[in-house]
Amino acid sequence: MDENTRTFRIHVSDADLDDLRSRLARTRWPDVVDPDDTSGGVPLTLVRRLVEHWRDGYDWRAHETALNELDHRLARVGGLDLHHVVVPAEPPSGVPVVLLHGWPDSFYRYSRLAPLLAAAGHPVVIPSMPGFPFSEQPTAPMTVALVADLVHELLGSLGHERYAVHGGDWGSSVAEQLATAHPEAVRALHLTDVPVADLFTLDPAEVGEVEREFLERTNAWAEEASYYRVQGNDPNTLAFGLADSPVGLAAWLVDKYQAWTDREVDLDQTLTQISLYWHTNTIRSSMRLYAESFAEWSGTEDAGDDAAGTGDDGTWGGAGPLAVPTAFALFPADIGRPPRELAERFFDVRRFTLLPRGGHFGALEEPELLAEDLLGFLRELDA
Amino acid sequence: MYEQRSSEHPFVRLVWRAGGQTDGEFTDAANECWGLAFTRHRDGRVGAELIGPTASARRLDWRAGESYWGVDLESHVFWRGLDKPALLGVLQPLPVESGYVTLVGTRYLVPDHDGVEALVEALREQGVLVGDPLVARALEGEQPALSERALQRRFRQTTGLARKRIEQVRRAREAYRMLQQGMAPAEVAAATGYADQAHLSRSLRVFAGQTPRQILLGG
Repeated sequence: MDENTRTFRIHVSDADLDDLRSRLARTRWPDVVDPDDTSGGVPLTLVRRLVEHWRDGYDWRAHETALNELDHRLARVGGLDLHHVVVPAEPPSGVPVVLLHGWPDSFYRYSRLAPLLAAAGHPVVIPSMPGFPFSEQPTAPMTVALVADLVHELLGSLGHERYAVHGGDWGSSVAEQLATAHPEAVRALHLTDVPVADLFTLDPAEVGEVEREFLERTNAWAEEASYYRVQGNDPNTLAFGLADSPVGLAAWLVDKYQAWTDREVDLDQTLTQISLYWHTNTIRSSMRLYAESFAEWSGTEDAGDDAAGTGDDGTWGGAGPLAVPTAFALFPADIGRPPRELAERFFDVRRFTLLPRGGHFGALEEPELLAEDLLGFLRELDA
Repeated sequence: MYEQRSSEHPFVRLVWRAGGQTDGEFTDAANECWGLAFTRHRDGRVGAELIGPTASARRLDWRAGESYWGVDLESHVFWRGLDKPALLGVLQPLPVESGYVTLVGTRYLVPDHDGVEALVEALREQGVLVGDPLVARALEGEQPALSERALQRRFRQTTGLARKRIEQVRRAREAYRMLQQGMAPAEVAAATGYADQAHLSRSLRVFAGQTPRQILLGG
């Protein structure tokens, strides 16, 4: 550990836990006509069940102790304290693997996957993105490029010159940016989705039928995905309620945990994620990418006309597939499963797997399936 | 043991499974559609095969203690990105690793008998299995707004077989079904448009590998 890094333990104060308890006890519930109605967002019955469990069943201290079995650290990177978890391999025989989370989750997304990779010889680093639980947020605009730079610097400070990257949600966007900016450092990418920014570069009128069907499904999803718009357009307005009301926060987040899965919501796992956001007051800072990364994209249009304009292949501004070998492992209940040919526009696709079970948070739901695919891919690359 | 079930999936004609405690062989009737077959060997290993359309009956072996299951696709459903002519009449082994089968570059978990439709749907979503609505309508007897030549070409592109051959196989299958239900060969020949009973017999020997009498007796 260098002089810029220090160990870290999660500790929520008794005062904070008391404050949470009293807020939960004084919850004022919305007046909803049909508590089971799912047409207007998350149903009251689910939020009640979750919150009752938070109040009467969920034991933060036990979960805190379990989380502290991981090796947490804070590194001073780019002027920010960047939280990360390090899982050593015993003995290290494989390429280090970086696990990049998205929204609404945290390092916790990978708490079940990391030990499986470490057991196979891969040292694991789980960075917490800036503005997410335990990592400081920047004052500069929060962009995917900024996150990627910080992550790369962090890995250098850990002595990892060359590493493989796994990611999903914003994590896959950051992974793609890492491979773009540092192709010499990124041995391989293993992603659970095609980064959303790539999809926006495709003109549905110019792609093949299978891709068009997928883009139409994605667009239909985006039409319904109001969280995406609110977090992009009015994050401040939204954040007052979520930062002040644990129930408001729980409802906003559990909505995603129940929608993007193929199973019943795991109350304990979801409450751990919600608690991490609540106790660190990071809900507002965790949303910054939605507003500030879009600003970055529209900015790139001014970067020069050479790269812009619609290409013959239906993309614009794209420089063709990245040179880094890439695998996709797609969960059936995730937001969308793109066809392979779409992924090939942006990536050097070496492996493309449709996993049989799991959703957006598949790393928590099906860590063995994911580990098997990731490890199989890394073995293939070394063969 | 052999059993088959129908399916709600528009691409699936039937899902089948077979297996037994003794070695044996059976006659696989001519089939104009594409299919997938899976095998669980006695040591637990799983195998997968792509089944190309075949215009004549073939003998297949089965081994004691192995189980087999698979899917016959509808005739208007075809594989994108496969060399069809090379696969006609062929059982093409597919790579299987850690329980995943690779099909046109994508890895799918080998499904069990109940999960076959989910696999077909994933293949459709990936654009690997494609339904040709025009061929589907032509097979239903509609005359699409295409020249006969263009329609022939479309059939060959989609299915890998000539339209006439597909219709012959479909007619033979219909006749086979009627014979199994106990209808007299002469009646069956008339109902399915064969010139006479001899024509029916010749056709069934090619397509089903059996005579009408063998079929009537439960072959």
